Amino acid sequence: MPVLLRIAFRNLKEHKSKTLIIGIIIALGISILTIGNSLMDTAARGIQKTFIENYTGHIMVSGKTDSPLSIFGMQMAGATEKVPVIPQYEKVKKYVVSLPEVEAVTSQVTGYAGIELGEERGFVILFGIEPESYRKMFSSIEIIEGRYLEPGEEGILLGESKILEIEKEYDITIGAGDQVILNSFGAAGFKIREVPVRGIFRLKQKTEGLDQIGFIDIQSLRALEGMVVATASDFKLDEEETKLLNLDSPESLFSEDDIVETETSRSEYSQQELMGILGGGEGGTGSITIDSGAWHYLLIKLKNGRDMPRIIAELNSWFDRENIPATAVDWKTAAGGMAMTSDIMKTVFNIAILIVAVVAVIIIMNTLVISVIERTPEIGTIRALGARKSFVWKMFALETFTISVLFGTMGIMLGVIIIGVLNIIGIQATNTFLNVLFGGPVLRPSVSSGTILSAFGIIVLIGFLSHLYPVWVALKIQPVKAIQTEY
Amino acid sequence: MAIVTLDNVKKIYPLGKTEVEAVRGVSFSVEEGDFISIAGPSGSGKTTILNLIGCIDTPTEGTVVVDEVNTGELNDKEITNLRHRTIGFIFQSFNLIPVLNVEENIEFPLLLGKDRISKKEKSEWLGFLIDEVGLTEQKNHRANELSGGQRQRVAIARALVTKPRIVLADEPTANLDSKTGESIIELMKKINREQKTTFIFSTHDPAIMKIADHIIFLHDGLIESEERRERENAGSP
Repeated sequence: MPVLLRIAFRNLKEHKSKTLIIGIIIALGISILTIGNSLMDTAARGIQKTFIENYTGHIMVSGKTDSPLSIFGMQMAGATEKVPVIPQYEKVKKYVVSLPEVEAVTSQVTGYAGIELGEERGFVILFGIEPESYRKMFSSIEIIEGRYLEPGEEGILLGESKILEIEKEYDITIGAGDQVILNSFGAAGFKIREVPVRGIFRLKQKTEGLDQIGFIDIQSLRALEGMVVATASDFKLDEEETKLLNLDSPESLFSEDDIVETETSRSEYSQQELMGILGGGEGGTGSITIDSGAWHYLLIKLKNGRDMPRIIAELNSWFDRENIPATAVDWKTAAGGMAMTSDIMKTVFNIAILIVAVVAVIIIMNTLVISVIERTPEIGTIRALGARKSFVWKMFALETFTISVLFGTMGIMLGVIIIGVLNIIGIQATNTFLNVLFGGPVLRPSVSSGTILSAFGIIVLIGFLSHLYPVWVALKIQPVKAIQTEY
Repeated sequence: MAIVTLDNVKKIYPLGKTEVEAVRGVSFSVEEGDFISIAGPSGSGKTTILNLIGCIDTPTEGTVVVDEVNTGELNDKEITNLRHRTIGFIFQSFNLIPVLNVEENIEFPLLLGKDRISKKEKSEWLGFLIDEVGLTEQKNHRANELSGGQRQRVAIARALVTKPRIVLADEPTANLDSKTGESIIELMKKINREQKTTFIFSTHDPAIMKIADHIIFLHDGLIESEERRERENAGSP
């Protein structure tokens, strides 16, 4: 064994109490880091899996917006901007489908509607979908009553937990085959739609909050959302009307000359007569029609998730080249705030760990400085015998790194054992927040190689930072100290 | 041929707001193979002069030439190399590395240099030195398992392991009883005779002084007298 390593090991053994103080701090810190990061990583993987497999796919394409956008709509509270439809949807979809890395695509519109529940009024988030492609892409929807939506038919699928909530809160029973009345009020005015409940679903991977969504046929949601195409070409104004609109003063609109009074011969009209006057129930001249090509999102599942950043870059570059105001984002952006929770938690945890690490470094540093001061004659002697400063530096660096690696490895092992135990027993999510954070009702954490590598990185960093000041003190010791100090 | 030359060397130490003149203009030279004692009472400047010769301290004024090199012109790295190559140290408090055993302590200076010797050669040389200082049976003992005399013997072997031309010993017998002290000086003298190594040691013990063949008496940082005797090994091959 090289002499430096021999000295390092024996010195650590010789000064057991100091070694243990430093070692326990390092081991505990590293085990907390390993456990914490493993929990966070597992939760993040759970959330990623939940969203990619159930809601977002790997990539979401949407129209460009100024405010942040997710599959749940605009992310900023009080944002007045509406979710735009994807421009040149057919062209975009054709290009996406042509990419060899793409496994499946589906399109979606997101909306919010009130749901009539007897005297009461509830609220539901609606995903307007293409049933066939949606089911193919997101296979975790399990129908527990009724059936899935058929292509082209009107209807809604409600989640089991939503049904239970309605039953509990409003004392109303809803089942497959029942009709529900949905209404919404937006820029296009008040819209009302009655749709049949085709089925009740449950998510195979249960996620609190997300199973509150209702899946509705796209045409019904477009109607509720007022996603329409105006037929402006049908409007033709005659000379009189044009003149009226060109009046300089708005007040002149109300002058007596322009008010036409006509007396009616009848005071009552039947519904049939009114419909005849208004155009027989069909869209008359100047009416509006539902835009059958309007989609908010194009969701893309890739064959290999690792291709995600590259495909996103490729799509965005294509949008730029084709001058299409659309954008492609990853699943995390598509998932919005819910997926960010784990990132925020991880950031908070890492800041806490950083503070602990700084405190640990200061404690280790002080303990080592005391050790250096105690060993002043030894250092002086070594220098007097012909050791260069680099030798003294290596001696202390090796001692610090030996203790860091030794106890750091113990900390990692302790962390791995605890995570192993937690994996077997599982951590139950006792509330909605934890359910979302865990990406499911139970968290079974596992340790990734990345976590172990980052723990080793921290060990090396702690070792490096802790040894700097003590070594600086040691290097200032002159050989003459060997003679001046009693040994 | 002079292996060490001090020319009008002064050393002043700051002591709070005042200064202490430890050495006040000392000049002398040491011939190669000398067994020289720097004698004098406490505070006379013995240790300071040894520190200056050993390049572990620098003079305030004057020059110190060791092995034909003016030490004042060297940087830290060059001084370290000179110390390692040319000088061996024996300390009053032995200064063994506590976590190393006898053999490892003796071997230690060899590990600091760039010169590499074969394992066999090193083993033979270490064996010879351990045998020479009479510690063959204790070679695996740690410093705290040895008596004062044994520790100083380890220090002597360690000082000789790099085959230095000069060995400096600062009151090597101060922490030993008189009998052990005499045996240590006898051992140093034996090595001086056999290896032709120059020994410079400080002492205030008259019994030890008489063994030296060159004595410099110091008082208050100045040379009070200098005495040269005929070398015991003079003229021997």
